[in-house]
Amino acid sequence: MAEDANKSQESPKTEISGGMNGWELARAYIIPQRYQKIFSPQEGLRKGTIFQELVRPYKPDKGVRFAEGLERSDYDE
Amino acid sequence: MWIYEKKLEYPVRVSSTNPRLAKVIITQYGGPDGELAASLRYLTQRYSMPTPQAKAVLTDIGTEELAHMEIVATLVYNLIRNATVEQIKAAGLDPYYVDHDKSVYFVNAEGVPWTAAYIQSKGDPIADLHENMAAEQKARATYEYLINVSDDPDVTDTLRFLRQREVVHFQRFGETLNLVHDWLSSKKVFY
Amino acid sequence: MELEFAAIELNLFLDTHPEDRCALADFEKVSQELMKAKTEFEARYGPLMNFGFGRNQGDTWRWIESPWPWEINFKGFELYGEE
Repeated sequence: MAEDANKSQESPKTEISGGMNGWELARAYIIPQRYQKIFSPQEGLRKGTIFQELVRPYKPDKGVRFAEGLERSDYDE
Repeated sequence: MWIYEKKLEYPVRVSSTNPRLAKVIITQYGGPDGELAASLRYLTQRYSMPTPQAKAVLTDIGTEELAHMEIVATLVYNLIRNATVEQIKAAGLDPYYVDHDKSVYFVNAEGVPWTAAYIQSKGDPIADLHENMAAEQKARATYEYLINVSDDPDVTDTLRFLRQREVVHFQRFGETLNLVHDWLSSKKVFY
Repeated sequence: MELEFAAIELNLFLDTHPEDRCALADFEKVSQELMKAKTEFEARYGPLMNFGFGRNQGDTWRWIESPWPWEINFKGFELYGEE
């Protein structure tokens, strides 16, 4: 998932805070979400979250066989 | 304590009777990566969590998973309740039917009953939060597989909602993990 | 239904961001609207919650009335309209 922060970036410690400098080994980090504009309740319910930055639509793999009668376009949001 | 609100979290729609689809969807009710496992896991882990945020997150997500359990049960219930015995046999659901009729029971897609072996409460908050994050990913993947096999667009709509919820839960558990790590280093505990 | 969902989402966000002022303000707003909507709903249809968390307001015990949530097929209903 995109939230995993195992890339070279500036240390998240400014947001997460903590006692030591830089990144630690053998430890997982998730970038904390910052509060931004939220969807209307109607749109939020339809999308499954009120947070735009957490929307992750599912696009079925092209190699996957679809059940009979299913249109590919049904899954494109 | 818990009280119950007489309202689904999401408006569930089912196009038509479909016991074959019910047979696979039921895995998110009583299967290893389903909503019962998720809710019991979080609700039992919360007792030994060290920080107030962690206790709140586990309580609240655990409670939301109960609501998701209700949604999955509603899908299964509406997919089979008007099925004839012939349709049930054609779907390979007759072994389930003879033990449960058209009621909703805790099994996976193969009919294996739910077990507490699906969940762990290790007590160690880092271990528990990692298990929870993995659980959310497994649930997300399972919903994707279910979306792949679903031939009912209305049911698929509900599956997409449930899948998106897992993404949000993963983020919250990740944030909780950060907070617990912070708390542990502020106590100067060495890991 | 959608108001309650917004409240749930804000609740979860606040659990991991307990001092976020914007989220707190939005939660208050949604919570107030939600309670108002529930009061109106309950006046028409009976209690939404059991054990005294919702009001009955009727000559009979309305809690038991149908439909129960799993009996409602929203197919054909206007979605995302009212609670």
